Amino acid sequence: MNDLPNYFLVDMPSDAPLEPKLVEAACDALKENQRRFLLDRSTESLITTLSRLAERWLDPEYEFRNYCLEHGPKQLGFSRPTLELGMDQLFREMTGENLQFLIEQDLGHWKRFDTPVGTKKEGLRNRSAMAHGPSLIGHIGAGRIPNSTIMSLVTGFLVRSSQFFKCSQKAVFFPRLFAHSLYDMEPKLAACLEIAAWPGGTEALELPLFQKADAISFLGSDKSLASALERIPKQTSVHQHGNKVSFAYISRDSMTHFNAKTIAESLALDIAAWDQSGCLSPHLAYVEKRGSVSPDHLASLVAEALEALEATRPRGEISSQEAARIRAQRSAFEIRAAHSKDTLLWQSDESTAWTVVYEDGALFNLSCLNRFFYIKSVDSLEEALAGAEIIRESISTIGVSLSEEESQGVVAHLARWGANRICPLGQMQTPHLSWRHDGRPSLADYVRWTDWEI
Amino acid sequence: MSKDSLENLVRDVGDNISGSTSIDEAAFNQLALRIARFQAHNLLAYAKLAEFRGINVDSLEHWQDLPFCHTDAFKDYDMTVIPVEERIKRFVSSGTTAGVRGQHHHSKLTLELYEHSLDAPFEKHFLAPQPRPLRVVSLTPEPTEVSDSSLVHMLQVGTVRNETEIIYHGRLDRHDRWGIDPENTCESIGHWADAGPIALVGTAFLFAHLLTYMESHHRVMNLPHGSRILETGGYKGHAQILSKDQFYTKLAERFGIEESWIVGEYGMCELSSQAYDRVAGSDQVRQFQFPPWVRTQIISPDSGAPVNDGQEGILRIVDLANIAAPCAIETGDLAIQKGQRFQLVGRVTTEPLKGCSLHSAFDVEFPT
Repeated sequence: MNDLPNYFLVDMPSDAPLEPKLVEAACDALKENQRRFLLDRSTESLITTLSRLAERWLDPEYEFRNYCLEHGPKQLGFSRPTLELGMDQLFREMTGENLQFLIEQDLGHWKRFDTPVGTKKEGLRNRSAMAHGPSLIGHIGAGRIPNSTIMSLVTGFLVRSSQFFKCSQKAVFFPRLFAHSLYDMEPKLAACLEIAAWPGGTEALELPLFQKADAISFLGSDKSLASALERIPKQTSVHQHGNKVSFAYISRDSMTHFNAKTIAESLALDIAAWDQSGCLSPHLAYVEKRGSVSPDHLASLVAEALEALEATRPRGEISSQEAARIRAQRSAFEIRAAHSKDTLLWQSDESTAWTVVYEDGALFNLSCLNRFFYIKSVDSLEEALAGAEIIRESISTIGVSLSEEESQGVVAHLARWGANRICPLGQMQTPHLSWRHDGRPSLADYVRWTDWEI
Repeated sequence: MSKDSLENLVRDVGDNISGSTSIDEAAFNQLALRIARFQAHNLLAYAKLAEFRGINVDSLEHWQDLPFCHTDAFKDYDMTVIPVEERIKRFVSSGTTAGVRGQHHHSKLTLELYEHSLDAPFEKHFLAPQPRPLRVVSLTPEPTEVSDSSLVHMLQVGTVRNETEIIYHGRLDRHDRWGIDPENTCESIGHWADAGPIALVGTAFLFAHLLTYMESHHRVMNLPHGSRILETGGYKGHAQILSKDQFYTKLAERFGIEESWIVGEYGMCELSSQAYDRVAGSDQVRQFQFPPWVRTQIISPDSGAPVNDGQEGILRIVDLANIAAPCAIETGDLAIQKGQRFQLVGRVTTEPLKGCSLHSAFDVEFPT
């Protein structure tokens, strides 16, 4: 990426250290540019720019896409096919129609930022309203999965905010590339964006960002958030997306000999997407006993599906520490499997590419990720949720396989239990653009309103 | 069928340990295979592990192919051939956040072999270099308080056999965690050092506790020449902020000794033998070496195949002194093979959760 123009802070030569005054100056420039280039811009033109940028990223000839696919595997640790599919699924969602729907869903009318407008029912009451976003959002800790960066960026621009992305040096590859693709397409919008990399918790650099930003959005560990919260001014709004866990649930009535293979393949897709490293990736699947297909048989089918995927969409390269974690976790279950029929183990030969552990019982096991999956057999939904109680506060998505008759009731039950998103298997890592991240509206949380009573 | 008995094996291994400076590969291989076969026939959990992996230990020809038993298996399974009524000593692994601890049982016979095996290496690396220390000051609790600590047992036996006095300064808190009173300990170290060189022993965590106290109270000691430190690694669930190098530099500065007089020890309750990273006071490169009756193998964590010299991987150990418990052990430690020696890189251990998705809490400790 040395051939990218020197435009963002992250592009500075490595021998030029980042200083607090540079961060402060960048924040001032972002706020000024927000007034100049964003505040009066129409929502329609913003949506057009963002959706066209997504179209470019879907174009197999697009230079930024190709650069990402060529260097991404080494930089991000995903294989090329995994990266390609993940990016395509993401950018296909970023259509003009979906962006417009996102605003309508959150704010009732898609032109709320342009002018005072109202819904029909508001009109009947002689009311309309206009929405305003923060002038500057500071994003802390974008991960190595592009989705979080893209969604944060889209959200920020739609609420008319300039944005400062602070990443770790390891995670900066994609945000930097994406920012340059925006700069290449529309420099004025890119002038409302800044990308910088420094180690988390570098207080001297974070201080000017925390002081200048009107809102801080946090992606990442609860621990780093806790330490930063003490340093963020009280009047600044904080939007947190911390550690989250997802799992799958397969009811006995939904699985037959005919669809068991499809269910297994769908689960394998969810496990393989982003190599299981997203907060929407399942750690395990609860499978009800006494159906026509036994949970351990489904586990063997998931193992087969993961093995097949390894040929077409291999897991990315992982560090020796990560591989050692998988090895240690395999060892723990291997000795159990050697002693009890209630534990079964399937694993890739001569590699840590994938692992499936079957166990009888509902206890929730957190996976060491990188395609390490548990199948747990349970008697009922109640038993599964009792086992998952330990991660209840961190739950994000539950991927489900349910019969038509039971789906309404089970979904309501899971929703009340705490799930923020419930979706079919095979789609856990591909939420709709307008999904409510961690159960919160993407745009509405940033917005200040002006009501107009006519 | 394996015809070896525990008695035969203890005798034959004992013969090889006595005064041996080396065991040739063929002799080592033969003994390792004999022990593993004996274990595969007499230790149910090990037999099941071998069967699960499809390995027939009787037909193996090389110790490198043995079924290696992960140290974690000692937590949940009875990894010993010793009948309950003959167990006279039990060592448990140091605390983990999971709370379950590995156990290693000894009978009278195997305990004697263990004590016999630890003696010479302990003396050679730590006590023998001249001028010999007058006393060992240990930061650990006393043997009577922590009878299931293999480290404290080793210190007790190693000092008694070498006719060196040992004083214990550690204590247990109400949660049974090891600790020290740093002020008292400093006073005591100063007192004993007035008489001549001393030998300090403790875990990294206990030393770190002492260092923190000494730094905040601006205390620097100037221990007599020949004074030495044995650091036994491991933070036992506590985060280590310093690298090993920085840690040793600080220890040397605070106690007024040269870093060459600090010896690192690598051991665990699942093993019977210990590795040391140098002879006290020598100018050897700091790398761990086990005694001749132990061999190591470093494997790729991904493929499980042995890695080349100089590459990082998971440390496996075959310890001939482990006769009642599996002699072929896979550790959770990452290491780099350096000829007959190895360098520790880190340990897969419990750590706080990171990243967008929660994952099982493993991370690597103490980069060197």
